[in-house]
Amino acid sequence: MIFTGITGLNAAQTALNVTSKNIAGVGVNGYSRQVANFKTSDIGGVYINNIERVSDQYAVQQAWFNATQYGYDTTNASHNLQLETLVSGKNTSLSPSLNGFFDTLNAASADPMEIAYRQEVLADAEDLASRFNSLSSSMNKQAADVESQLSSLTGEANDMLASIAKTNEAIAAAAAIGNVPSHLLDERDQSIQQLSELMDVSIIFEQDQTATVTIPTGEPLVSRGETNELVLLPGYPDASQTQLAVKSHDATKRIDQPGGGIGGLMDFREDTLSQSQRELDRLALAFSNEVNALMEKGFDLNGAAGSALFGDINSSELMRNRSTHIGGTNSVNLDIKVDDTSKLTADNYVFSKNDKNELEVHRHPGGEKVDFETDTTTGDISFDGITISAADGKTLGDMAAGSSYLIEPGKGAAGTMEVVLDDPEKLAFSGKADEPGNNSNLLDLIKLQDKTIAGGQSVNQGWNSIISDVASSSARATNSLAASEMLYQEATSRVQSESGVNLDEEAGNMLMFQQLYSANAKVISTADELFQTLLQAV
Amino acid sequence: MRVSTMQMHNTLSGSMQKAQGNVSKTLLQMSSGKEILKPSDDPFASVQLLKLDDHLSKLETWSGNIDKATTFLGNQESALMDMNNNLDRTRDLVLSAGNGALSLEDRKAIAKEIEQTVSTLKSLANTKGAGDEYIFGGTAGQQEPVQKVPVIDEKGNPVLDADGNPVEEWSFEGSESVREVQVSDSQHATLGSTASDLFFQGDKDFFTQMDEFVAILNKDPLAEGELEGAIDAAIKGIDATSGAVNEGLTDIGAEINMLEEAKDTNTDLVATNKAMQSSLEALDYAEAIPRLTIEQTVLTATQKGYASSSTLTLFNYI
Repeated sequence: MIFTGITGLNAAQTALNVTSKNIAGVGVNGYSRQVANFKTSDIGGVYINNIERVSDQYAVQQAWFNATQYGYDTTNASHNLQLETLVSGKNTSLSPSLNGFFDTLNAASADPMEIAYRQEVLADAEDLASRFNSLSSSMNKQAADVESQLSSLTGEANDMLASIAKTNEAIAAAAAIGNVPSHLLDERDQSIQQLSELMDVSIIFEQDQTATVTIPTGEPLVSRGETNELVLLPGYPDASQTQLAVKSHDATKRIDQPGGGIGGLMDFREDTLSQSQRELDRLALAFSNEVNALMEKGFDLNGAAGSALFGDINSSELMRNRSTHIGGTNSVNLDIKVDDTSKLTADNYVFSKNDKNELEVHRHPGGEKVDFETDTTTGDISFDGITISAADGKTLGDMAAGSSYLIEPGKGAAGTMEVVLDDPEKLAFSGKADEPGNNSNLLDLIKLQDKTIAGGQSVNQGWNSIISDVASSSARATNSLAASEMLYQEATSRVQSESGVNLDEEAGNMLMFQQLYSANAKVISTADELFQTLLQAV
Repeated sequence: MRVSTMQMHNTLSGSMQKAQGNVSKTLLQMSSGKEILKPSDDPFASVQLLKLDDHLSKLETWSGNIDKATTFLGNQESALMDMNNNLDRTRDLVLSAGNGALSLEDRKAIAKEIEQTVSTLKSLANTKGAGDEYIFGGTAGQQEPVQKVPVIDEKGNPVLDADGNPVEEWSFEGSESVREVQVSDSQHATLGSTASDLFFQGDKDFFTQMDEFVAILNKDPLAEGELEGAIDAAIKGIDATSGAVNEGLTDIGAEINMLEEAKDTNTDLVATNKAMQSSLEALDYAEAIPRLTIEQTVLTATQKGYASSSTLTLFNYI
């Protein structure tokens, strides 16, 4: 009888211990509650058969799956919102400067000889150019932020891979000798969940209870205690847009669709940010060019022939910077001249010479082949409003077979836009050399506001469509985030509902195990009393 | 369903945050008066708003142009009216010279007065406006439109008189063309007339005619009928110039009428534009106020729920 009491006492103690662990774990993220299972012994009394970790693996895996979409939408939506705030803000948007410039031109049209208006036109042109500059530099800064965030998220993912590998080893060792401690499983589940928020992964549980982590296309990331490192490689064709890759013993393989927070960043960069940057550059090129062309047609206040208001869109520096060598032997420097801003697309191109010595142009992004015209005397090629020629007295014939170049026609246009005229008298408003009060050239400049200048749009329309594209992308991302956030919450709620600690339940258990303990103690004391009674009776 | 303590906490704090977010958004909408706080709230309406904004900016610009054109034309108008008065005075003086009883001294006195009124007319023709521009100089208002300039012969040399002084003649040094200013999508205002329109029509310009008349008045002795012929010619010249000045005034009147109409149209368009903007983005307070009340009630409820659930534990009773 005493023995039976002792088994009960022990069991109640163990159960109380489990309860106290659960109570302690109530606030710990990822803690799975445990339950002490009682069993009656064949030889009388009770014992704790096992301490069960309560976890619904299906619910847990569902939460991992939802974490990936949630991670994607989180980074994607937050960057979209940042870009949207930039392009639509009253103090950052192009519209106020653009409308201000034309407003001042209009004011000057009534009094073209008035120097105050001319000064204002110059000041507004400076303001417009600096708006282009600051929009471009803010977008560049955001691109740099995306890259540094990519690098820190990749570092985090590697930490998670290492943590999974480490717990895998501890779990395998514990499994070999019997029971796997619950906290190790909790820790690994938690690491996998954090990894899932960063990128899309598949998990397979092995016989030895280790978890194998792969990317969905099959490349392993963690196998038992081994990890393959995630790295960021220079992108192709644009080296500045890094790409995620997994490095194994024998090869480094790019991951095209990483998903999760990393994928959300990359897609924002490619689908929204780069697109907006290229559109802005094209707008800067087309606008500078149209204004300059008109200015050069007119006459200034002193009757002299007009000169450009903005910097030359085909300066030797800009022409050279529009190409980057990306493959094969770099045998020529290329100059990219913008001939016709109205024909410019907002695309980049990969220009290459294949092994058969044939020139090829492919659109980027997209990849489709672009037809071009070849100048029969120089061998230069032209397409989409630009001409590619070789610099330093060479021709495209000197280009090495198998070499390729990235062509970015708008590169640097918005960022380097500047007013090159500093004398207000030199503004060419007049259409006639000896008539400074003539405003016919100025009226043509004013008409420029409604002229179709690039991509079938006027300058205002071009800018508005940048805003509207970003706004649509941002709205899509925000809606998607709201949906995936809800799904993720539901999924984690399901896990919580199964594995989370309920304090009331634990309080009840505690009372019950206390009573169990007291009752068993009473059994022992009663047995003792009986024994004493018996002894006294003898 | 089993609910864990953390889940309960998360759910309650999550809905509290959501309720707070809703209240904060509605408050922002109410303080700005706008339903759309950022373009992604309604991308389609935002595009319309951007277009309306751009158009509004143009309407404001045109309205500025209308004011400037009206000022310019107003300047010309008052100069033209002064010209009319001076022309009338000159005409009276010319006619008074026809009185047969006048002595040479009397004629010289009249000549002096005519020289003064003509000089005033010349100054009026050379009126300056904003930007130091001569308003009757057309599009070449950088220099005095009415000037005496040396006469140049075919070889490009100045013509000299008997005393060896350069011979001068009256000349219009401005441009025949006048400026246009855009005042609406389709309308341009024409900025008045030039000194050429007013004084330099016909074979001989007004100032030369007056010089010739003054010379006759100062001449002694006069041939038979010479004065009468000169008066006839001078009156013809003055009447032609008066006609041109009145025509200029009529044109300006018509132009100012057009500008007033354009201004009215412009004001209507601005009002329509703002009404459209408002219909797209303005907050409907009748809808927003009850919404805020509900959201505040929800927030208070979730806060109370959170507060009570955090004290609600079995541990408090054992």
